[in-house]
Amino acid sequence: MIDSEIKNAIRIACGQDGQDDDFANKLIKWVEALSSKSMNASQNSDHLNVVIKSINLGKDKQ
Amino acid sequence: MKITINGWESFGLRCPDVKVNLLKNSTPSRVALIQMPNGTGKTTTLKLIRASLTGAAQNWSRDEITELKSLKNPNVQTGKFILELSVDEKPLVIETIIDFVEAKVRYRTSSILLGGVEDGWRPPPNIKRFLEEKFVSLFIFDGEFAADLLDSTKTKATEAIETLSQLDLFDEVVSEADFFWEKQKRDASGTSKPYLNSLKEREAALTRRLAELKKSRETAQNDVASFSKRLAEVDAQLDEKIGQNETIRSEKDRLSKAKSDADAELSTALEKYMQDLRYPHKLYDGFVRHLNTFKVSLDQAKLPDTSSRQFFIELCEEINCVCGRPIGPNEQNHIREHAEHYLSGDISGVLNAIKNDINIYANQNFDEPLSDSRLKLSDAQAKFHDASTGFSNYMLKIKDFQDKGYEELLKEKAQIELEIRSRDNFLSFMSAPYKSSDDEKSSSVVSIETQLRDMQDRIAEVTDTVELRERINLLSKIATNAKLIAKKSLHKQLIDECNERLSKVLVNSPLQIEDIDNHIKLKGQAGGSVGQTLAVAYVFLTAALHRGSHQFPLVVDSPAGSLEQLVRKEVGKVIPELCEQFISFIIDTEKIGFVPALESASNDSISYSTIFRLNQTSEKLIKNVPNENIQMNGDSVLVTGKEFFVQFTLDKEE
Repeated sequence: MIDSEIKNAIRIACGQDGQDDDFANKLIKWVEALSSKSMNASQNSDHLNVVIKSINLGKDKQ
Repeated sequence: MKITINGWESFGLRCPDVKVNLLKNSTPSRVALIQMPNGTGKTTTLKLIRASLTGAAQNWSRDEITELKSLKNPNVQTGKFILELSVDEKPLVIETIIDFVEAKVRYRTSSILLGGVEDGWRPPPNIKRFLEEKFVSLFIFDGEFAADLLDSTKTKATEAIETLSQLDLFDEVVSEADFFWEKQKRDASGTSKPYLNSLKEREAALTRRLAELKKSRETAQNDVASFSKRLAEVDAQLDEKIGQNETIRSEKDRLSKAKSDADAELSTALEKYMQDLRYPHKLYDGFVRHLNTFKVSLDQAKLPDTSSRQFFIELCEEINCVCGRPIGPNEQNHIREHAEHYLSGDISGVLNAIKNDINIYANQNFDEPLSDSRLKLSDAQAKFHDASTGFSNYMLKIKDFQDKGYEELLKEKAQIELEIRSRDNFLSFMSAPYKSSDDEKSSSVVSIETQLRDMQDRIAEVTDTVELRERINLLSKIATNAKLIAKKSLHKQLIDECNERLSKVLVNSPLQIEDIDNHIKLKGQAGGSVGQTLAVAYVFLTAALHRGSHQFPLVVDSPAGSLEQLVRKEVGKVIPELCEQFISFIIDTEKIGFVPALESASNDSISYSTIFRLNQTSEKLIKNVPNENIQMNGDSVLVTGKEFFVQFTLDKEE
């Protein structure tokens, strides 16, 4: 479990950058997994891939 | 997450050989006071508690290990420290075993989660992050650390918040993203936008070149079609003229057929020769010898079987290793991890295919050696040359029998054939396969098409990489920004909470925190007295430790030494409220003011232990103590109970 301040901060920072809730949720899920220290390298890489792929580069808005 | 310390036991170390039990009716007392006179091994005990929690003893130097040796018994070979904990009400025991002969430390861990005892420092994964050294130093606490919290040249306060509130997770996100990027960058050869632009320019050049070549090819193909059409007409006219003379026509047909047959025979011989050339063992019989030797070497080395990943994975399932030693869970994990360094299924497959091919090809008997097919090719070449020359000579000879128009037709035919041959050559160049030395100036459509496809794949790959960089930059930016937001919010909450507690603790000398900017900044003053510093540190750390749903014990060495009596009372009153378990290593002079305040605030959940060395002075002290309250091991004495604790003063007895 991570502090609610951390979750809130992630949501605010994502919002400020124009990222949607879906991305914020995926980032929170990965940070929670990091905090549990129970992931192996492959699970960590899978989480990170999901997060990176969900990032909106803003090209659609142009 | 709730961690409590239930007790510890030490043997053969510089600290006394005692078993300290902090449980009262199976529950740890809220306040546990351990009175140990200076020089009794208080520092050693604290060091061992810390090392049990962090696993750090495995990296201790020989000197650090030797310093822990019992002074009373210097011949001791092994020392042991057993720390008993509860993690979310489940027992966890960590044994630190110190081998003074080898100067090595090893651990043993037992817990329900492990299903018993295991070698090594193995706390459950969910508490590991709370057992890092920087975290443990927040709840195994000394006066020096308290001073650092308020020192403007140090960053302990921020570090404490970041560790306790897991703000360092954001740094981990940035570092994981960077690591991921470095790995991807190694796999991709180009990553920058200018590089992508240069690839796109080359793609445009290749596209232009392909269009030019295709246009030229179409023109050449059209030319060939119209020349062929005219050639057919000329041939028909020549046939018509020749056909008027039956003898000439039949001789011309015979020679033409002989030429076609020779041509077909030459093609067959050439194809056979080229095929034979592809077998190196047909060129030189030494190849067969060397290939067989290579296969025998592979067999002798039992390759690929003994070096395959699969071999090691299957080995994990065995009870004993091939060397005869038993394979336990640790060995299984080690073998599984290291199996990755050995041959994968793909590589093993290639080695097996090589061995199989050597069996099939290198050892077969050839029905025809290479020299035979070379001889046949020479024969076919000679035969074709003769047939071709015979036909051409006859065609030239018969012109004398024909009219003037026949000669002109022959000339036109020769000219058309020349034109067709030149265009066929050009078209043949255009169909040439791609070579690695080709560039965008190549005349081969096939080569340009291949280069264009490769370039497009490359562009796709680099585009992905450039985008990936942008994504990782964005992720790092978001994580950094989120850390700042979380930090600001946490600082504000902590400052408010600490100031509220400080107003209760320091009633007569009010002190407030203004800001936490690397260090704790006090309102209206640069720093506090030693006592104020310790009071602020207590309040700050207990507030920070109390955050979220986590509870940790607070272990403090000399908790009240530097506090004024009035502050001692205030701090003592507040501590039981601030944390769930307070363990304090105390000396005689700290008791006044501090202990009564702690006792009254602890609601009777308080335990008293006094640990000291037995000598002529201290021996008199235990004369009237009931046996059930005394634990003696050699010169080490542990007395439990309030009365002895309060009365204990070595100095006065002396």
